[in-house]
Order: sequence, then structure tokens, then C-alpha cells
Amino acid sequence: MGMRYGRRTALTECTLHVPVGRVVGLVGPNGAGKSTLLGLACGLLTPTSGRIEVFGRTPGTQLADVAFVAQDAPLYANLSVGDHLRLGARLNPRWNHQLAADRIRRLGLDEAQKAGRLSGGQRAQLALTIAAAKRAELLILDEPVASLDPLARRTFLQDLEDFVTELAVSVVLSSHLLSDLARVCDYLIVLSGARVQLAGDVDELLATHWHVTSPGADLDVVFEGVVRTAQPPPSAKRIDLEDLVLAYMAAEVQR
Amino acid sequence: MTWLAGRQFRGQALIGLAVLVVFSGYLLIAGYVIRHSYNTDVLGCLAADGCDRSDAEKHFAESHAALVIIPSILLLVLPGIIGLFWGAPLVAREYEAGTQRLAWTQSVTRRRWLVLKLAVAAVAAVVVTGLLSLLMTWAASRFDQVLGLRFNPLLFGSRNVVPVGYAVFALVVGTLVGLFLRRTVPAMALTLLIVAIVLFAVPLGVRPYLWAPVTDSIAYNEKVRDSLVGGLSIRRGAPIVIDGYTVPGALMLSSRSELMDASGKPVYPTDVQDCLSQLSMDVASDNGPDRLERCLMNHNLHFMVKYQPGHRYWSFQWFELGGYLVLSVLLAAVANWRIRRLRA
Repeated sequence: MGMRYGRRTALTECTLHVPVGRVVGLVGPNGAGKSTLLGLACGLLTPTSGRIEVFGRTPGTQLADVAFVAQDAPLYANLSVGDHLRLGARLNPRWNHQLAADRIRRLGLDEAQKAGRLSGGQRAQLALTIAAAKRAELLILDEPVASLDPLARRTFLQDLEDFVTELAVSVVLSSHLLSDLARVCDYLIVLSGARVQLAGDVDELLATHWHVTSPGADLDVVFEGVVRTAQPPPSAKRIDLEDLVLAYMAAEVQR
Repeated sequence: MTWLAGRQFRGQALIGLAVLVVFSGYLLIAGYVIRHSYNTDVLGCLAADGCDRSDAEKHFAESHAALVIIPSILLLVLPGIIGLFWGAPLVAREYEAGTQRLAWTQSVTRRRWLVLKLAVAAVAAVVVTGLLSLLMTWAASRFDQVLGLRFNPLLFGSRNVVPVGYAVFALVVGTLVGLFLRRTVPAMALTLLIVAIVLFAVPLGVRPYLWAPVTDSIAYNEKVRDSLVGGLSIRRGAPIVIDGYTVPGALMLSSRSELMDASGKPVYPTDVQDCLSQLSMDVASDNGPDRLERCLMNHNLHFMVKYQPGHRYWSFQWFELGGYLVLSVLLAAVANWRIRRLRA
């Protein structure tokens, strides 16, 4: 699958299979094509080449099955929190009112408050509430914590984790910081330079990548001292997720 | 979705309501003032002795011209304002705030979203312009009747059913332009330009030719001379032209016509030398032109006029309303087709 905006290539030769029932982290530097990939997945964009399927269908044809929180959590500034919940209720057949009302109460949001006057953290939380109460099978979050302060970031991710276990949905979320995703995701996609650099189960990735000081000629070197192999040489050391992702990104930059 | 469309439109609807109330109030008062004045000054003149009706009517029309013409202009401009403030931001403002990404990822398709948003605004536009046009038509009816110029571009476009068509058309144009430009202010500017061009071009270049006009031969006589807005234009070597003849209540396609003799040949100054030589003798006296005209009347002259007769007025009103509504539906269909393929 590929996506171009005029002459600019946002995604190219993007071949990817994402398993159902996982929390997928999409990580990559700014401008890597993360938003484009997520926009394609929720049907806001259509690919200029190739195709994409979500639950076996073209995105945009099953609007009720996919919930999306766009970057910066866009909301109607002159509509109140309560209006946004009504919006969700009127526009979504599977809307779970109880879930939405409980969450708003727990967050301490005033229903009469205009969305334009909410803080960044509150906006993100309200947007997440609308997406969650939609009761979709797939929840897509585009840079949900990028604009949040560290405390709001932690609360948001904690809430998200609670949801995932409670609602049993598949989740895809993106960030340019791996640290945001490491604690919640169990599947990782590294996107850089409009290409997928790496995709796989987190545990599996950690089991197949190693730090080595002097790689032998037979090893598949990712980038300076990081190799990909199921049988590590005796001198190999464990790698953490951060180093692994950075190795793939650095390798792409070098190319 | 209708709920969201209505909720988002609430602020604009309140402004529309305020305009409706103020404008209606003005028209009600103006209507009563004009009717009262008509009853006393024009009808009263008929009852009174020694009162010239045409003088009374002329005075009545002159004294109320501003009262009628200003709201007529406003009503003619209103569709443009609707296109500007209701049409152009309908989609463009969503793009500017990024909220289309919220709206289009709920369980309602974009097409349904657009159709319902457009429908809510269209109903409001029809109600506001419909009511105002109704009141305008009522308030100005005595004035219009005395003036007898129902096909005048200003009066035609601000009376009866056509304002509704203009308003819906402007709204859809604004929406479509906003959909393509995705920026509110440029969309407003382009909408204004398009609506202004269409609403100017149609009365001047399209309306007179919607039906095959009636062609009539008019004899040049005293009655014709008295009704002329212009006069005769006589130049050496060119046919004599009669300027500013109007058939009462009609839409004139020709304001200048050549005078012709009984055989249908254009009349040159040399053909009526006898009248002109009289004129040159009388040039010092005030009644010179009058004597020239009287002389010409004896030459059995006539001229041809093309016009849309006054009894076609309602056909034109309905036809134009229908045309604008059909055009609006077509443009809305383009918007509906376009929005499916749009990048969010």
C-alpha cells in the first residue's frame, strides 16, 4: 500500500498485517507517516496505491466498528461536554451511555463546560471517552498524549489500559516517543522515512535482537552493535525496546 | 445527525432570527405607512374634486421610493449574505478546526452528514427569505402597482417566490466552494463573487431570453410620445431612433428602435426634410421640438418593439425559482460526490 500527497510520498511499499486483539504501538519520528497510516486505517484517507482492510473490509464502510481519536483531539469548541456526549449518542448505534457518563463523572468534568475551555488533558480524555463509548471493535489513537503534561500523560495511559481490559478492544496508538507506548503496547510497528522498518510482537522482538560488541560476518546487523538473530552469540547482551527502536530508526536515517 | 446539524447551526440560526424580526418589523411598519398614504392620497384624490390622479400617483410613488427601494436592495443582497455566513463555513470551518476528523469517524457517513447539515441550513434559508419576501411583497404592493414596473430587475428579484431560489442557490454555492477551498475566508470571498456575478448576469443576460419575446409594431402617435422616457434621436445619415418606449408592465428587450415608414423602411432625416426644415425655422421658440414631433406623426410612422408581456410575470417567477432550485440540487450532488473522495 502507498500514499502520496501530490508529489510528496507519505507512505511507500507499506505491507503490514496487524493481528486482532492486540495493543499496537506505532512509533516513528515526526513526519514518518504515522498519521497517514492511521488515517488510512479509519477511512479518513484512501490509499493512492494498493489497498487496506480492517476486519476484512475497506475502512470507511464499517464506521461503527472503528473509533478514532485524531491528533490534538479535535472537539467542537462551542459545544459543551454534555453536547459532545449527546453527539456520540446520536451518531453511534452502539453508544454506551453508562460508560460515558461514569467516565465523565470520574474525570470530574462539568457537562455544561464548553469544550473550547477544557485543558489539553481534559480534551484528550473527553475525546477518548467518546471513542470508547462508541463500543467499536478497534480503537485508533493518533498521538493521544503528545500535547499532555507528564502527569496527564500518565493518567491518560492508565485509563487507556483500564479500557482495553474492560472493553476487550483492539487498539492502535501512535507516538513519536517510545516511552509513551512501551508500558501499554504488546505489538510494535516502527515507521520511518515513509516505510515500515519493523513490525512484530514486543516479546518476540526482544527475544530476537541482541547487543553485540563485535558482530561476526554471519550476523544480520541492524545498526552499530545491534543484531537480529534467534541464536545469540555467547558475548551478546539483552537489548531494551528503546535501543531496538532507535537502532532501526538510525539505520533508516543512515540509508 | 439532525440533532448535531441543528445544534451546530443554533448560533447562526439565532442571528438569522434576529435579522428576520428586525426586518419584518420594518416591513410591517412600512407596509402600513404606504397603505395608509395610498388610501388617503391616491384613493382620496379620486373622491375629491379637481384632483389629478396621475399627479397624486406620481407624488405617492416619489415620496415612498426610499421606503421600498432600500429594503428591496437588502432582500436582493440577503441570499449573498446567506451564502457567505451559512454556506461557506458549513464545511470549511470544520476543516479549519479539524473537527471533520471527529464527525466523519462517528457511525454516520460523510454524505449523510453533509446532506443533513445542508438540509438544516436550507430550511432556515427558505423560511427566512420566504417570510421576508412575503412581507416585502405585501408592504410594497401599492407602490409596485402604481409604478407598474414589475419586471424591473430590483423589483422582480425582491418579490414573490424568486428570493427563495436565490437563497438556496447561494447557500449551496457557499457550501461547495467551502468544500473545495477548505478555508472559510477565501471561501466567503469566492462565494460572494460567484453569487454576485450570477445574480447580476441572470436579470440582464438570461431572464429576457427565457421565452420567445413578443414582437409588436407600434404606431408613432401622441400617446407614444407622452409615454417616452427618452425621446427621438436624429442624426445626419442615420435612421431616426426612438428611445425609451416601454409597454406597461412588460420586460423590454429593445429600448431603442428605428422609426419606419408604412413600407417598413427605416426613416432617415432626409425622408422627413419637411419637418426638420420647420424645426430650423422654429429653433428659437420653445415649442419647436413639439412641432417637429407633431409633424412626424402625420407621416404615418411606426416602430418595432420586442418584449416579454406583463402577464408572463408569474411564469418567469416560477421558472426562475425552479431553475435555481434545480441548479442547487445539481451543485449539492457535486458536493455529495466530492465529499466521499475528500482527504480528511
